[in-house]
Amino acid sequence: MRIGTKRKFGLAHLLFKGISQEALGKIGIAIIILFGVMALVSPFVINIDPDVYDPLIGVDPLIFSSQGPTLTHPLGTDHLGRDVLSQLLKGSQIAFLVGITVGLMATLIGTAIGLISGYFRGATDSLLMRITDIILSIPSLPLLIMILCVFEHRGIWVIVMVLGLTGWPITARVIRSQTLSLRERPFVQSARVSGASDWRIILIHIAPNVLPLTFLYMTIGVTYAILTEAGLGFLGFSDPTISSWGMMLQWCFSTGHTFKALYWMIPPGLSISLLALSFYLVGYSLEREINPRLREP
Amino acid sequence: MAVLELKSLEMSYKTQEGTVRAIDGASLRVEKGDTVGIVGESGCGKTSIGLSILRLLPPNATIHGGQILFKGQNLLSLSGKDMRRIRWKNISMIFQAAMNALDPVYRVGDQLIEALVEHQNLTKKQASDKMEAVFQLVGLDPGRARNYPHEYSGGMKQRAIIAMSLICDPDIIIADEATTALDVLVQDRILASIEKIKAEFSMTMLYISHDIAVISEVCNKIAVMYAGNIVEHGDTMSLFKAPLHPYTQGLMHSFPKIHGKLERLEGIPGEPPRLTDSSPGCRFFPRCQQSLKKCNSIRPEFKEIEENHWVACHATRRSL
Amino acid sequence: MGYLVNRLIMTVITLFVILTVTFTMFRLMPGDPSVFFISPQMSTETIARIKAQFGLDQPIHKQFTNYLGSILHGNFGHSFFYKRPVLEVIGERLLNTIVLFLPAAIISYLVGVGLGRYMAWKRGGTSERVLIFTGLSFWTFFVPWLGLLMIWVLSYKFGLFPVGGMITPDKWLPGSTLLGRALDLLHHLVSPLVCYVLTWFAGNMLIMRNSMLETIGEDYILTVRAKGLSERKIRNKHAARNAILPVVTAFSMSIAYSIGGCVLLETVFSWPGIGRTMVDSVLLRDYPLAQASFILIATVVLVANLITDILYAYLDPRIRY
Ligand SMILES: Nc1ncnc2c1ncn2[C@@H]1O[C@H](COP(=O)(O)OP(=O)(O)OP(=O)(O)O)[C@@H](O)[C@H]1O
Ligand SMILES: [Mg+2]
Repeated sequence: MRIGTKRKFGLAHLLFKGISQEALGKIGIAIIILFGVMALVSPFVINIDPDVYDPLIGVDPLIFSSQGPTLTHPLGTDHLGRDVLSQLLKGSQIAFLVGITVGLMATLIGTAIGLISGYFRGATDSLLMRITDIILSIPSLPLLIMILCVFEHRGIWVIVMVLGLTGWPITARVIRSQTLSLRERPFVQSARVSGASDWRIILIHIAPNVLPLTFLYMTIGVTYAILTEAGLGFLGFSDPTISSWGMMLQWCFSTGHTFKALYWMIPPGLSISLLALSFYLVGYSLEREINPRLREP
Repeated sequence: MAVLELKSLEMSYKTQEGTVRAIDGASLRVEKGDTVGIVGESGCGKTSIGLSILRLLPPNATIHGGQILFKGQNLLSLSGKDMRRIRWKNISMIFQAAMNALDPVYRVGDQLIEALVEHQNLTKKQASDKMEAVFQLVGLDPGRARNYPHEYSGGMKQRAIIAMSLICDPDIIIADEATTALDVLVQDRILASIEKIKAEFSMTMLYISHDIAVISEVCNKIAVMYAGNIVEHGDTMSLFKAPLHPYTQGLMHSFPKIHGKLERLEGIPGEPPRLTDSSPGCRFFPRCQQSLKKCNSIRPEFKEIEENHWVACHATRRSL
Repeated sequence: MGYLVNRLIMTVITLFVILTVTFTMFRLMPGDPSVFFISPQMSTETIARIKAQFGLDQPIHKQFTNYLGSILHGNFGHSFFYKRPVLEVIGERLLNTIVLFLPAAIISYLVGVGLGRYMAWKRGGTSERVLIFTGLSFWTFFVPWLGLLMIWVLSYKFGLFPVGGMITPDKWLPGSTLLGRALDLLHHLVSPLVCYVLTWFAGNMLIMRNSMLETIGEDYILTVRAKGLSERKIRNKHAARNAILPVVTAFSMSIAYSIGGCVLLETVFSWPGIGRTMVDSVLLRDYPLAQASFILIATVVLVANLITDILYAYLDPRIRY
């Protein structure tokens, strides 16, 4: 039962409206779909001939150095003769995997902490917000490098976990301040008077109202995750058993092909930037829907 | 010559629901030394009149008719730059939302001085002397001028705003609900200060309020506003003794008489019309108990019925 | 004052947390934690001596206090690779990073605030839309890739700027003038700096724009307009002055994220800063150097945060007391 829970923005309605009304939101969705298709197509491409098209171990037997685009290798090959396009498609899968998982994890943690902090206030709030501040002021990329340096094992899941566990502070702050104002609203007050438990109020009355914001910060979290994982890959600290976009760029850079093989240097960097941008554009359109003051008059 | 005169002013806001005709024919005259009260229900367009005079309306508003004469000069035809010179120096305004009317990041005294140096060539010393003088005038300790707005109480902020409105010795002050947000005790004290200052300097004021008790206390003339129209305008005494417009009559009945004992409140049945609707007739027609046939189709003219007493009503004219 | 004392205490606590995390991490490291101070090439006796000297034979809590004590004295151990005290290696690198990071931070802030202010004041129109799209695009640009593109265009194609590095040694020989050296440094600084600013300004710009839009609706803006102030004064002295407050807060929060850009940029542009030192030392398994680099990077962030917080207190009288 919802006692007077006035939901100004149904999430689905809001997503639809926010994204469909803004040109930038549409561009964002289009890019996401494009890369989504790439991620789905990836296994089929590899299956054409895994010996040639596997992004890591498939080597064209006729090629021993990086070569420009040909019919069999539309984006050319890397220095070992591996197919760049195939790596790029696989990279799309990894980017989605990392981005979405980290985004979900970070926003879930951030939202939970924000709700608890804002609802209970007092000592709980102070403690949680101090922790948030501390995590916020630890530089995440260097921290990740140190952690990966210590754990000899650099699985992609270690990266995902660390990103997810450190990426929540901004969400927590925003959700907290929203919760602080929501808890004073009449419908929450009346729920409290009618004897609903704290957790019930948080879950049933407050949480649905912060959902749009949660979603907004999730898109930002996805952007953050994609860029940071790519950064780690570029520095050579990502999972060596996969071909992420960051790794591709690193191979290109560290073997000195940066300016010799643009067909190899452009695609991974462009993909990272575009996919990061697309999620941000979706978030940006949503923000304008949530906060009408930002729209044009 | 009147200090300020409005001649059938018309103004509207563009909104998503349509055009809100917030002022739909407002005429009014403020002579030197007068305090003219504009009284009317919430949403009838009082603030809009004040903002129109200073030409501070939001971008979605347009003035599309009438004149605003300041000492005979039409403010609506001035360039932006000339209008800027008149603001505060000649016409200052106390805003309805006084609690947030001061910029939080500057010292209160400096905000007063800012207005002064914008319009007059003064040395620092002269400016701060003047600032301290107006502080004292409104009953504020000049020592507090170095404080920031958040260190002031609501009443003090209101006094500071009044001091600010006085600082350039304007020809007329527009006070929009100058005391409404305050509690009754503070309200009384501030009203008393205003009275004192008015008497001392023979200030000219346009005093906007929905509270007819306050208006009757402060003002020597009243303009009654209903749904964007000024329907009656005249001396406080004659309006109280013999209100002519049916709306004024109802209004006077809705408030306890100032002198004499409390009477039973006698409201006016019905609701004010939505300002987006435009009918050719009198806007009070749907609620009027004295209406005539033509009231629904012909807008009554705003006529001087007796000396210095204007009314816009078909019924009134007939009864005379 | 309460606010600043508060911030100071928080900074110290955060530093303590960072030191603890670092300490713990290196204990968790596979193998003997003594690698932390000891290079593999040393003889067994030396190792034993050093172990005793650094108290590695002592209980863990004792080790922790020793560790804290030596770090607070600037003793980060010996670099395996450079065979010198870590601090000697790193001191100069830290300065190099600051030479890049500080101007980048200031310019990003100023450009962002300036553009955001302009956008909010001139609502709508193509210029706003173009700025938003450009800003968002740069904001999410993959930093190293942008760096590579810039090197490709500016250095490789047009030869306008050096491909990387911080100085041309020839121009720093004894006898070279100060001006010559400064110009050389500047010449090397331009590309990484521009790259940094491009990827950083948009955050400030968008927040400034939003904050300005909120501020313009405030009652006190109506008051200053009624006071007859010019539009320029209203915008700069009142609207923007209030609108920058949230920008400063957000800026402070973005520093920790943005320093990650330093690590990436320094690698791309071969800038001999502390970020690149950290990456290299991790790859070389030079643990003392890696640890010290991390602690110093974190400290730079903390100090930068503290400075912005002080600035904030100065800008907002409601906090000051
Ligand atoms: N910026 C605006 N945009 C659209 N409509 C507006 C705007 N400002 C005021 N209005 C409308 O214009 C009408 C007159 O408003 P105004 O503020 O002048 O009333 P008021 O008499 O001052 O009311 P109150 O006593 O509540 O202050 C109202 O119907 C209001 O809804
Ligand atoms: Mg009003």
